[in-house]
Amino acid sequence: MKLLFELEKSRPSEYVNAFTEDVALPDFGKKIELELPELSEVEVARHYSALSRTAFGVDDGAYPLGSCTMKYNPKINEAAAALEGFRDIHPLAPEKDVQGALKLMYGLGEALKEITGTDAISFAGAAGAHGEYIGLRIIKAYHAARGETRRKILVPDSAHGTNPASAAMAGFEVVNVPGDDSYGVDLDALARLCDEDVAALMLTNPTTLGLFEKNIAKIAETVHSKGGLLYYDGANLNAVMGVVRPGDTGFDVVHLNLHKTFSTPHGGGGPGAGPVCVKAFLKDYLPYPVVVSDGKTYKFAAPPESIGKVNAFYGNFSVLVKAYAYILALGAEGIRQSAETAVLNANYLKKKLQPEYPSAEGVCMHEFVVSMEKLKNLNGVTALDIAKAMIDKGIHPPTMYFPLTVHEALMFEPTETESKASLDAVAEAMKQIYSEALKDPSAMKTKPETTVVSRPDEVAAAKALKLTYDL
Amino acid sequence: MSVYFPHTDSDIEQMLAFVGVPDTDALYSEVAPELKCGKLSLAPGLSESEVIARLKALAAENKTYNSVMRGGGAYRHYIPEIVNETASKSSFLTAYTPYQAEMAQGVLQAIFEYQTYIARITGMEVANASMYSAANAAAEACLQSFKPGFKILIAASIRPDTMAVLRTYLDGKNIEYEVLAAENGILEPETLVKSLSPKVCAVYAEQPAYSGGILDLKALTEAAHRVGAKFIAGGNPLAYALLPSPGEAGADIAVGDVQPFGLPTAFGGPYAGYYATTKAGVRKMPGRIVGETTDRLGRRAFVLTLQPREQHIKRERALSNICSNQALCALRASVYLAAMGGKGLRRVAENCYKAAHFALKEFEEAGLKRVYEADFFNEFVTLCPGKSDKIEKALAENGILSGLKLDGDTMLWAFTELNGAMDITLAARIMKEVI
Repeated sequence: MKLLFELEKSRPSEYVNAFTEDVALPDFGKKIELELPELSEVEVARHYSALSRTAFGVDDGAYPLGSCTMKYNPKINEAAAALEGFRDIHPLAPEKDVQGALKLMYGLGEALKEITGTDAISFAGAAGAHGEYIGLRIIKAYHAARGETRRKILVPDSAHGTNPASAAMAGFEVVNVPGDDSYGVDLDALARLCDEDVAALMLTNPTTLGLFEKNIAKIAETVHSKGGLLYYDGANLNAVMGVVRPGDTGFDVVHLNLHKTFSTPHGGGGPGAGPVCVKAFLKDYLPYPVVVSDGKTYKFAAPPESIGKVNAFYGNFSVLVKAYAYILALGAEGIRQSAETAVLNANYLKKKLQPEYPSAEGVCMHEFVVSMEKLKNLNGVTALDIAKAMIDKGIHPPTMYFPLTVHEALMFEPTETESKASLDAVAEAMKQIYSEALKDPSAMKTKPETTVVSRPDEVAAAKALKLTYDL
Repeated sequence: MSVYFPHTDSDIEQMLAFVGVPDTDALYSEVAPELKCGKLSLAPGLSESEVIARLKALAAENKTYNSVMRGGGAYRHYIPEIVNETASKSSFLTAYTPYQAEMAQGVLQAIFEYQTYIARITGMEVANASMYSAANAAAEACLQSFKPGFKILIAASIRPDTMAVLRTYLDGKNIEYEVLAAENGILEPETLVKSLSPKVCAVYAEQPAYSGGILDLKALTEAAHRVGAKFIAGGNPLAYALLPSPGEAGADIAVGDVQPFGLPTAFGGPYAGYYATTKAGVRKMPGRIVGETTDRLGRRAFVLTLQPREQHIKRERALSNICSNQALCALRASVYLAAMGGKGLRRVAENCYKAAHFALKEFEEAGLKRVYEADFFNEFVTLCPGKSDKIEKALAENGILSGLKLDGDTMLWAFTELNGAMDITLAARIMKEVI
């Protein structure tokens, strides 16, 4: 498909009139004039319409992408965020003009605190990784206020890559904690690694293997007994919201991904929102500003020991509107039922995929990991090949090669918004793919066959580095 | 209650039977009963019509203005409807990060085009897929430009929110930095020269300054380069339709926010930070990057590239922890630029400049005083001792959001193509009456 920069010149629409008063423009010394394509609106519309046909969203089909919680994004949430009273307010408007917005943030905060079992919240985080950074800075500030410089963050070897990356960015040293035979945290290793230099343990629960960390109470006790804190990576909250609250199981800091658990759309890679929830003893360290209320009016305030500012204004406000609409719709019951249905869907699909796609025995939470190692050893068909074959069936592939602790991993997370019929169809497609892989392994190497491109050369992309049309 | 799972009761029963459990509770057998939370203390769920009624009521508690003369990092521009329409196409809106290239060529090509737009506007060679905000992009640029044993110089004339975010990120890494005085509301080259030394690794300033004042980017960049320091130019990208771009001035990194390109002010976000640099700087550029390649049949294809810099591969040795960024906002910016074209964008920028200069003249006649002499793009600071509150109130009564009160005496005004001459004259007349 042609790039915008390759289209024939056409007549653009007139979107704004020239300023009516005569004001002279000086010579700004600009020697290199800006050149952008001149295109008529119809050409622009057709261009993006064509591009959108080669993109794939939740509305286009099954999206069982593990760890990413690609659930359906209700349309009403978009309409709510687009209301003029939310869309057209200025971040630096007087507080009396934005009481509705502040009230919404306050109300969303109360709901998320209740769901996570925590006491205070910041909405500054623009995404999960940003939330992690904020949470870790809060932990750092807490220890510093107690006169302690704790340098280490413990991270399970099955953790999301953002955990160690955020820890490093917040100025910590990362220590990996090995898993035990059942993919949980190895308690002996944890006890050995926990010392007075450990600032916190970062944990995802359910784990990235889709299993509930059943030793969570013991883990919390081990970390807390050495003065360390427990950090909850909220990527997998969808499995347990309304059933278990991280705060009740010993977590001190929790970040959420509103673009996962609370149904705000991913937008092809953002904007998300990564609010950070903390227990009362950490609330003074939250980034500023936070929303406070005397019950009648709402305003911004700076916590006394705040780690500072971490985002330009107050976070991704429109995303907060969508998440709030979602929580209002579901209510207490709907939230729990959504989690239960997500877990049921995962267990149903997990069993439907047996025996071709082996996974850990027993029940899983909202996601499960299959290993294609046996197939690869048998005839060379890899997890990647299976994923690419799924594309031809109109299914978005699962997360591949993660967690790193499982070989040839494919991580499925159907979410609660996939119907039984859709799961049956996914399972049927997977069985077909498997038998095709047994019959003609070499044919798997050229999949997908039905898309506009197939198996782009990533090595060449990194070597030639063509990153703009002009380069 | 609205729930969004599609299962009928009979589906649930069949599925439970297939899994081999009596009820969904049994799926949580690994969770110790004492850890379970019981019923959440949240209101019962609402129907869709109730949800939207509730949110409309909240939205109605916010005041919107016919005319906005406030900026400071968020600008109300005209947004062509095609921007809203394109960004609401569900194949873009509800898509995941384009890791599966074959299923995401539309998203990848749109980002590639965005990168091209940003590179052209900033005059740099490469750009990434977006950052969270201008402030976060500036913080990342400073972190990436830091060398142990060196320090970073930061202009005091930058946006206060950027300054605050820089402090948080740099303090967190114990990076030494020095804030350079704003004389005349901007960073003057002489001020920079006085603080430069071979121990400086980077300089950060914004074009235009928070005060609206225009900097001599070329002189600043040359001064920084003379001591071997990198120059990081923050700024409003719309200004580069008129002013020399960071690339033309020789800057090493350009950052800022694309909010003026088709993003509503929306109480501060989501917007999208941009990050552009030279070819030489590309391996130190954080965030996602789309590159062009060919597929197995030789067709042009787009992929996420240079992933080994990123957290999911490098973990604690990654350049940055960023993964999700502001892709849909970047898409909005691209559609805006595609619709506007170069001439349209230049007209918007000219209107901003002209409206602001017309306003200054009118406001001076009304009795406000200009604080800084430096020429400005679309914002300026006025002085009117003790009158800021009164001005804000009087204009609000007439549907105009005034300039931002910096204190009781001074205000920061911003103008865009949506501020017509009549609008400005009306504001001047109202102010004349109250001061």
